[in-house]
Amino acid sequence: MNLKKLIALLAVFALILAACDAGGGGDDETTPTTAATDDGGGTDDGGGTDDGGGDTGAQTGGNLLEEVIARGTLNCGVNETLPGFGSKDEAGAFVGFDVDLCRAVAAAVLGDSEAVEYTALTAAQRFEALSSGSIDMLSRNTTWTQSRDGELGVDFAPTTYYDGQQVMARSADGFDSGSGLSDLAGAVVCTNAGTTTEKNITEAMQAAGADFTLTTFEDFNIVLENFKSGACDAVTTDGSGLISRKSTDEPAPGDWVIFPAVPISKEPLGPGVAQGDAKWADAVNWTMYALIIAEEQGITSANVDDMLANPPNGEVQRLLGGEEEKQTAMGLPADAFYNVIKQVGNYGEIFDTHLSVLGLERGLNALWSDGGLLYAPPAR
Amino acid sequence: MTDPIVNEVQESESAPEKPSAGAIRWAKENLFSSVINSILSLLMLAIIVLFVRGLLSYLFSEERLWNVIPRNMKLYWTEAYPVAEMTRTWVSLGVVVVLTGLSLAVWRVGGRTSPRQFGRTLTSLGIAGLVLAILADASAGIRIGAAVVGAVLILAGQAVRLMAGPGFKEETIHIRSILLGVLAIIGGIVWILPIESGTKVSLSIQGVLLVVSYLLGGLITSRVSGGLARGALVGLWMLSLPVIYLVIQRAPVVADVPLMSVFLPSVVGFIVVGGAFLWWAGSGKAGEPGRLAAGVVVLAALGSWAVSLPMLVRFLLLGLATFALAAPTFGGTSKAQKNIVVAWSAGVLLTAYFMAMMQADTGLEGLQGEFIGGLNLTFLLALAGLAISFPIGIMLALGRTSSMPIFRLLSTGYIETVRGVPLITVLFFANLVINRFLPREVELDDVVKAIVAVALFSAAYLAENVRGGLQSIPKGQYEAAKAMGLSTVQTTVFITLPQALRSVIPALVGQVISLFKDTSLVAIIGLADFLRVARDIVPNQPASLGSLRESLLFAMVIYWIFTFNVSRASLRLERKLGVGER
Repeated sequence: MNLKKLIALLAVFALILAACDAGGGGDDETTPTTAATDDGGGTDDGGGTDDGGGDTGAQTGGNLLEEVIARGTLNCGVNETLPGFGSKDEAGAFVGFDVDLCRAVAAAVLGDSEAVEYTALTAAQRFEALSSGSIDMLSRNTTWTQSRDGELGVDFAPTTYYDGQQVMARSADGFDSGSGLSDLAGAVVCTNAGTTTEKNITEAMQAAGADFTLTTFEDFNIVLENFKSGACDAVTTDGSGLISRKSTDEPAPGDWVIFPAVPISKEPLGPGVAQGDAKWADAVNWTMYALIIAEEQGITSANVDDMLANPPNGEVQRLLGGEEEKQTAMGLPADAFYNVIKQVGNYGEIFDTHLSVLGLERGLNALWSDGGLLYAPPAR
Repeated sequence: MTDPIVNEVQESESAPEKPSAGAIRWAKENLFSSVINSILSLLMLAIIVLFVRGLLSYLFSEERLWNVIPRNMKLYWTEAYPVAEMTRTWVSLGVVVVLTGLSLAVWRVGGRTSPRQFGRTLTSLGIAGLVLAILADASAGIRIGAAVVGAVLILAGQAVRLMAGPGFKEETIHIRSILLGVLAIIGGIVWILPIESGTKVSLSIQGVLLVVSYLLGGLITSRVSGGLARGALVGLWMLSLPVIYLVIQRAPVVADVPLMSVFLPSVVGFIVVGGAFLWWAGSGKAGEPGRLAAGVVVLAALGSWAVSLPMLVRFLLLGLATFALAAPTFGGTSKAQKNIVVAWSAGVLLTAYFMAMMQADTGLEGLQGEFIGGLNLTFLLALAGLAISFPIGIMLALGRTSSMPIFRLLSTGYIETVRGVPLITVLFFANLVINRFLPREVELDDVVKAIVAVALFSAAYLAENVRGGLQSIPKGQYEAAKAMGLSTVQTTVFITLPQALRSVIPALVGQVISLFKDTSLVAIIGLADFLRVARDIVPNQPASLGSLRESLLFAMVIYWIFTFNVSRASLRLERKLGVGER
């Protein structure tokens, strides 16, 4: 009996010892590890996506472009719950406007729009994922703000979608497209919790001098169910979300109206990269510009081969990798933007595929020459 | 109940049947026996009619986007599993289906029922169809269809009842032939549904597999003893879990596993040296030196985690320690000695095999740890969590009731700590902190971390359930065992634990069910389980906007089907083991 107790005691002692060592082992860099003991399943495939660095990962000193090329895949953070911008199709593949921006960058840098590893991120996870280096590029309906640019270490690419927060209510309750926030006095306004929409509507209603009740739900589908059942008099979120839900969920055309005409907030959405890597930021920025220039010049995925063979002007010729092209100097393949247009399409094509089908109009997102805000620097 | 199902052995003991009274008389006696009862009955009837009408109108309304469900079946089932590799999930399902078919046959599930009862069931279904046709605020097509189906079912039911007649009461139908008919009808529906033809073929193959394996199971049962067949099936079920998830679905690339340098020497060494050691330890002559040696092995096993060694060696050392501790109890005769060594060799081979599969990278393109999602992930979490938590829970329960203060203190501390913390916290803890507690070279992916969290959480609750069972064992059992000369371990393994587990089956099943449903919390650490697919992913597809309710209702039905079947199975088990009768 005594021996059994002794064994038990020794076992406990050894357990404690083992635990201490394992706990302390975290700091011990010199512990020799053999290949045989690597049980991790190989998530870190040598590309240098050092995930231990936290914020320091952002200052990698301008070699992310080479890293991505060496790795052969682009790690892109996207949304999986925003219709039109990022969602999953029936097979489980990511689709949407923001997803196509990732595909465009992969086509430019790697020549293959399918060479993307997507990570579905929540709003809370996205900046940490970017600064820790687990994603190369964030394309998840992220609003360009001063604090994110300045404090959170995000470098924003050009805005790809100009959005703004609006309100949707029932025309049966006396609202029309000319209504203003002051008409919402006494109404129950619903939105989803944990986003800036709450803050925006509260500030805007205060400014309009109208009292209202704000009710929040966990996600926008539930907000909309409550709007449909009558528990909410109005719902508020970004205009794109309201328009797409109006086009699919409205009982009869004209039942729901969206106002005010001038949104209550500015939401310039675009991709972002980690701060401190100018070369990589340039590659992403110019991929976005190339999408816009291609639309300006009328280059589409259908006619890009003709355009390359008979360029109508110097800019098209340079953009598609002809003489005097400027891509090689950026560290990109000469035919980078040809691949983008060929495999993904120009800005207008992406917009039509994912957003026009949801009832969204170009509006602010038309080319500058059509009265919108999309304006790309010249490719020369 | 004037017409009980004729599958109970106690039929001869039951009271003589009352003469069939007729519906009107029954209603008079039970619903309209007094004025107040009549008012209450009518009131309840009105409420039920309104409720059923509302529910049916909701379900069959043209606004419902039910087409979203079959279209997204792949997402619900496997989430982002590569489309090109879907055969792997079908094969996994096939393994489960074949084992189910064999089990149904070997355990002889499904008794017999009388044709009258069957006719009655058909009639009830028919009446339900008519109710649907009358009450539901649905399209004319659905209502007419429901009315026709209902009428046909009622006629069929009455025909069966008439044909059976009162004189044929002893004639019975086997429930399995009814189930076969249901399976055929489901097969027919599958071929009508708007889904890909590949899926239809695969589903039909599964149905055929079920029938064939059932017949095969019947054949096996008639050849070998029931105990052997059941034991083999239990073993196969336990093996099926790692085989499905580590081998079939993970598609491991074995080429980069150090088979020759690490695995082969370890396996041979542990089988030869460990086998010889266990032969000696289980001989019954080892005595005190044997116990001392076992202690040394335990120390070595625990110490191996502090030094750099291949994971395989660490796990095999742990296994050897367990076997060394158990050998004196189970050994003694030369036959027992042989059994220990055989079990040890099989254990070494299986451990090495599954560890090799686990260490190999997955061959699936573009996906590392997160290739499992949807219902597939829900099952993995629930089953693996259960498989791991069960032994841990029993150990903790034994530790807490042990007379050794250190074990008692550790177990009690663990149980009370874990039970005092919400599962979400344990999940976050596991996701963010667990790697800090492990040797540096071990890095777990998110799914494994979630399994560990679920298992550790569930073990604490299981331990308390088992402890309740242990405390219900009368003291006389311990004393009798002691008087027979059994050691403490022998008393526990052969006398008290089996009785304790039997008496807490209802509580254990409750734990299993809540574990199954609790797995939906893993969405919080970013895993795409079944509920997350149903709640977040499907309703946000541009083509499925506004389908949140349909999707959630579907999820509800699926969860219900599985939990309901678990509780039915446990009722069967309880009846068989006579819980509550002794």
